[in-house]
Amino acid sequence: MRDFVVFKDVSKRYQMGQVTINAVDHINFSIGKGEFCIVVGPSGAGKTTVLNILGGMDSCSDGEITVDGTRISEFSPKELTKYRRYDVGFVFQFYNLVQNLTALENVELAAQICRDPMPAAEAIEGVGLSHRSNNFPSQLSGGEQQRVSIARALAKNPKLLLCDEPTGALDYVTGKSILKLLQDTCREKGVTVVVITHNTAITPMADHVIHIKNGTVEAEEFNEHPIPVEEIEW
Amino acid sequence: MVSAIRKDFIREIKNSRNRFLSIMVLAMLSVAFLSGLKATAPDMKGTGDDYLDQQKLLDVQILSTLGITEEDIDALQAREEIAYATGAYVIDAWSGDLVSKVYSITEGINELTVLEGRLPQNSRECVVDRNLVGELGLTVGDSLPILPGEDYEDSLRHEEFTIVGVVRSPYYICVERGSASIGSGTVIAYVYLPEDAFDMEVYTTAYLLVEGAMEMTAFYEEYDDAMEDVIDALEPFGEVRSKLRYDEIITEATEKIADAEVELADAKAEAEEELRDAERELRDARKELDDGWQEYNDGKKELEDAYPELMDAQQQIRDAERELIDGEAEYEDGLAQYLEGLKEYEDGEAQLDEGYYKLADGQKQLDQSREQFGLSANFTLAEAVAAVDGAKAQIEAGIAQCDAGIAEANAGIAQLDPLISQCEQAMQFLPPESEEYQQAAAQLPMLRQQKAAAEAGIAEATATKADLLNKQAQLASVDGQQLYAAKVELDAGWEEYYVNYEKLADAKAQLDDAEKELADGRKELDDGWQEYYDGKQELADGWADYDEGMEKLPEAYAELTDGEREYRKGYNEYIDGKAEAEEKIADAEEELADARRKVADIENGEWFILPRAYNPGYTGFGQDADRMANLATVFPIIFFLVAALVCLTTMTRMVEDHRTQIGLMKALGYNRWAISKKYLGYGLLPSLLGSVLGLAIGHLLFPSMIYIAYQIMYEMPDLQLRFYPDISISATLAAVGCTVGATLFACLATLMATPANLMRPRAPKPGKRVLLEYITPLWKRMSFNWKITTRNLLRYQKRFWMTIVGIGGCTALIIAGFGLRDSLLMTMQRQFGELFLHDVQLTLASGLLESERDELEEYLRQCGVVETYTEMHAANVTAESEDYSSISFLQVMQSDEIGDFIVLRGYDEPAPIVLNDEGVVIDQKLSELLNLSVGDSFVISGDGRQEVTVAAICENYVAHYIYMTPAYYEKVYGEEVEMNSLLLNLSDTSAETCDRIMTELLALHGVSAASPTSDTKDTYLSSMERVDFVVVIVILCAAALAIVVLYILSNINITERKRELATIKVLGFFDGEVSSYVTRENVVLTALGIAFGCALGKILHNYLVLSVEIDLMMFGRELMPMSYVWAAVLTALFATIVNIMAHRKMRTIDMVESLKSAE
Repeated sequence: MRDFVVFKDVSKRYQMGQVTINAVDHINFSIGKGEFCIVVGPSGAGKTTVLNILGGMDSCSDGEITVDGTRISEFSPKELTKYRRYDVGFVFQFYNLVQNLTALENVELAAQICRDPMPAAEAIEGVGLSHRSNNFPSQLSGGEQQRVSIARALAKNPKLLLCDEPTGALDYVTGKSILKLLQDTCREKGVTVVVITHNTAITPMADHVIHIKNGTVEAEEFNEHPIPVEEIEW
Repeated sequence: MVSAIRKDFIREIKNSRNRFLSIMVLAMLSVAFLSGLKATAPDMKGTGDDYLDQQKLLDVQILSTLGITEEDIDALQAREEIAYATGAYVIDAWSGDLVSKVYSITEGINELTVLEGRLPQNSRECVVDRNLVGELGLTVGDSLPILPGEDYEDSLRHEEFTIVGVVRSPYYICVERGSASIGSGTVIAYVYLPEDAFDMEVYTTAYLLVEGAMEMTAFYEEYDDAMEDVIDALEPFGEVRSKLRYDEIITEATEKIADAEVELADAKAEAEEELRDAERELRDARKELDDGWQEYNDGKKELEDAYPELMDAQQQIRDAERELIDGEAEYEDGLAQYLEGLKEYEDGEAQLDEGYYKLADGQKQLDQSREQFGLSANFTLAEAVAAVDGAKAQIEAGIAQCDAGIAEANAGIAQLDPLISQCEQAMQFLPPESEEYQQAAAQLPMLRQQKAAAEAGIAEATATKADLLNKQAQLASVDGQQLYAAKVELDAGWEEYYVNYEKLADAKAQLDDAEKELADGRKELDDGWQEYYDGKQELADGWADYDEGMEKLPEAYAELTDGEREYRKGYNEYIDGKAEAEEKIADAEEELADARRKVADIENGEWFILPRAYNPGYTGFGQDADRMANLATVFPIIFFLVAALVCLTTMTRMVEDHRTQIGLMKALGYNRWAISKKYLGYGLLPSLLGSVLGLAIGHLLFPSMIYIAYQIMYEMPDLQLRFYPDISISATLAAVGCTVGATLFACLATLMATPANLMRPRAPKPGKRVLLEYITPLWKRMSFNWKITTRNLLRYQKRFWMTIVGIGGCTALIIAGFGLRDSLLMTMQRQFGELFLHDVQLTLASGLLESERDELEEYLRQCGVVETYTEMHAANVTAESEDYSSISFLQVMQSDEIGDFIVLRGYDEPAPIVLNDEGVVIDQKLSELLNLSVGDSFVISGDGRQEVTVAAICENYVAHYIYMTPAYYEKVYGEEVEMNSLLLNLSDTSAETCDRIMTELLALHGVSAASPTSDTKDTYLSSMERVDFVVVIVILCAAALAIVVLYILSNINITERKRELATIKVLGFFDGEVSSYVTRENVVLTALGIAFGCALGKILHNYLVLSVEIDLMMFGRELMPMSYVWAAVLTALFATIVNIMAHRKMRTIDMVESLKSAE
């Protein structure tokens, strides 16, 4: 069941001049399909590297990664691009919307390269921003922008939704609503969501929490009954 | 902390090497281009000025219609604004077959540069132009015939000069040699002779060096103005001097006329005298002739009389001869008889003589014997016998006596000998002091003496005895009887001898008489002969005289008739001479009258005071330099504009990149100056470095390369590169100013913001709807990508415009460069391809004979290559309007013939123009220069000054042409036009055929020059290559600029949107899609830039063509479509290269970038 995403002995080493840094060191974990998984750890623990590797933005040095039965660890750059294009949705900490495109257009930008995209308007509606779909990012608040970002990721109908500190740049209330959106998406659409954060306070809302420290999995916990975001305080 | 800032600065440069280099290259290009083009003009002018100063080229020259005298020169020299004045001779002359200018060598002004050989040292040597050596194929050491033109006959002392050197005159700085009044009017070469080779009364020219002119730089307005002032000041002076010269000439002429009058009077008197003499001579001759006739007749008569006389004389001579011969025979007989007698006589005489000698001998013997015996002459027989016997006895007695004496002497000796030996012994043994010894010694000599006397007596006696014995022997045979008998016989012999002797003497007398008689006969005969011969000689002489006379008679007759004829001739001559003399006198009187009239007509002299601009090529050089200066104004402005925009963009970007850092610094408490120092420094450093590099390249490379191109046209020393602080400083200031200014501008806005504001990530530039979106049908049809592109383009408006201006500027520069080439090529193609249809222009010899013309026409018909030809009058003239004058070709042709050879069509609208009798057709450029339009009139000056009306304006590119019909010519000039040229169309224009035709044509007497159109074309083409070269430089620079600009802009575009690009990469865009996301924008920008550049290029080209055009040439002013295409293709190519580089760069963008916060 928990074999939608499998990390097996994955290592990532960076060569910084003379020094080799093991950002990720023989990490092993697996994530089940439709899980809401939070990867948590202090700064420099290697969680972003995990996200990069998982998101197909980077390749691992060692080990084996399987996503939905496909070994992406052996992908060529081009295959990785395809993987990102068709299978992964990204939500960035700083939203990374194209400033020159309206909310709707930003969604379209992602949708147009997909095989079976969700209509952009529907995606926008899904995040509750139909009324602002013709606004430019600069005209939107941070939360709204993050919603657009999520809509952009969801419009692709991804197998995997990767979120990098989605609330990092947001205030408490807005952050909460974004997390709620993600949680709802996971629940309602059955999309596997992986959220990376340093905020351990929000871990109770996840099905599966992976604690990473010094490039390895320090602990894993599974919540049989995740708590709805509204109930979490931090 | 200061060092930290410095470290930061250095690291900043290291980390942004490309940006730093880009700014440097931009500054370098701009500064190189500006300073290079700017420096070219002053470099050229400076080099020219140095050369001219060094050679002391005249500042002002004065030409005078009446010539310039030594006094004029002195007066000029005395003026304070004149540093140096000298007189010179300049004449137009034929050197070999070339039209040339012949100058006198001057010292201290117009000094020659000796290229080969040396300067002349005597009046038979010359130095020449390189052209002359080349054209005539002569070398130093050859001799050169120089024939002055009509106006200057006898102005040279010699007809041939030895070339001793090849020189360069500063008077001619360009390959043109100006014009002359002889031949085709185009000077081919110059020749310099020493002043004493000229034989002229006054100088033709005065050369002046102006005080202070040396310090000014020629070709600049300052110099020109100064010279203009000097010329203005000299004008009134010139009038005064001209008046003086005029008066002098008038006085001289008046004097001359007076002299001539006296001369005429003298001549008249002389002629009369001569005539009188001739008359007298004639009279004498008549008399002499008459005498001659008389003499002839007398002589004839005399001869007739002489004949019979001569015949008589001949008979007489013959008789005398016969007589003489008889006489001779008689004489011979006599002579023979005489000789016989003589012989007989001589025999007798010999016999007689013989007898005589015998008798004389006998007598002698007898006389001897007689004397011996002492007998008288008439002795008897007895006496004879006695005498003989006595003598015999006497001898016998003597003999006996002798014998006795001998015996006595021998006895004495025998006594003496013992005594002598006794004495000798005594002396031997006895002491000498003894008495005995003394006695012996005294006795001995005495004894010896006695003995010697005895011995002498013996010898004497012996001799006497011998003698006596001898006598005895003689007498032995003689006896007295015999002696007597001999005496008797002898006496009888004598008797007979005397009888014979008597007889012989008689015979001798007889013979002597006969001899005398014979000698007389002989003499008589000889005299007869002499007389005979004399007579004969006389006769022969008489005959000879006669014959001679007979012979001489016809001769004399002929002589006389000749004399008669001569006399008649002389008489006629006299009559003619008289008439002639009268006529001559009349002529002379007329001439004098003419001269008087002429003197009255002499116009006041005029000084033409001319600046250097009058020198061939001088103005052209300045203009060429100015043209470079013109180029230097437009091109670099565009360069700088582009560079400044790009710098602004770069620096803005840099400052924005450093927003947070600036905020931090501010927050840390650094003041604005400390913060902005870094950015200003960053702008300053590369622009300064680039400027220095650019200055080096610009000052060294550009002027040299451009000048090399110009050196084909100008005869100048190599370029002297100079450093121009003003240009350098202004160019550097411009480059540094642009960059630093842009930096400052970029900094200011940022520095104004509060630190807090700065520390926060800058609000991304908000997206905006573009106008296009409101045109819904269009917007809807655009693909999503294009929508993004459109919006992106318009979002970064600053970059949008900068890119368009940058790319447009480069395209414009390239277009202008290509356009210039187009213009040049079009000029050639139109002029020689479309307008000039003729292939050859022939200049006919002046004073062409009818036969030569026939020969030429025959050749043209026969040679098979000449399709058509027409006659034309061609001349070099100057077209003048109020403020401009230009050298032009005047061509006079029949309007119905011109069309086959020269196409006349309008420039603005290419409608054909028909040459009519109402005015001239001039070319477009001339009309612009002289500011003329149809119906205006202007002055043609050349052979006089004529005003003509412009009937039409035609298209023409090279040189200036004024076309008119012969009828109009006659109307304007008041005389019939003389056709001096032919235009030919060839059916075969290959080089070999052309060469052959040229050679054959030039061999004809009627042709003085033949120039194929292709030659003219080549000449212009070669001069155009100079400009072509500049074009290449422009294109290269533009290309370099284009690449740098595109690179920088694309680089900035990518850096600015790194995060955006990283994001779309994360979204799963393929590399190609990411590239095209940006490239699409670039393509559009490039396309728009090109379009903008095309428009700008057209304007730029227009401006450039006008500023590069020279007065003698109009360039094609249209741009070829291909130039646009080329410029577009080149720009697109650069853009593609840059896009490929951008693509590479985009591939390297790390997607992790998207995770970072916006800086």
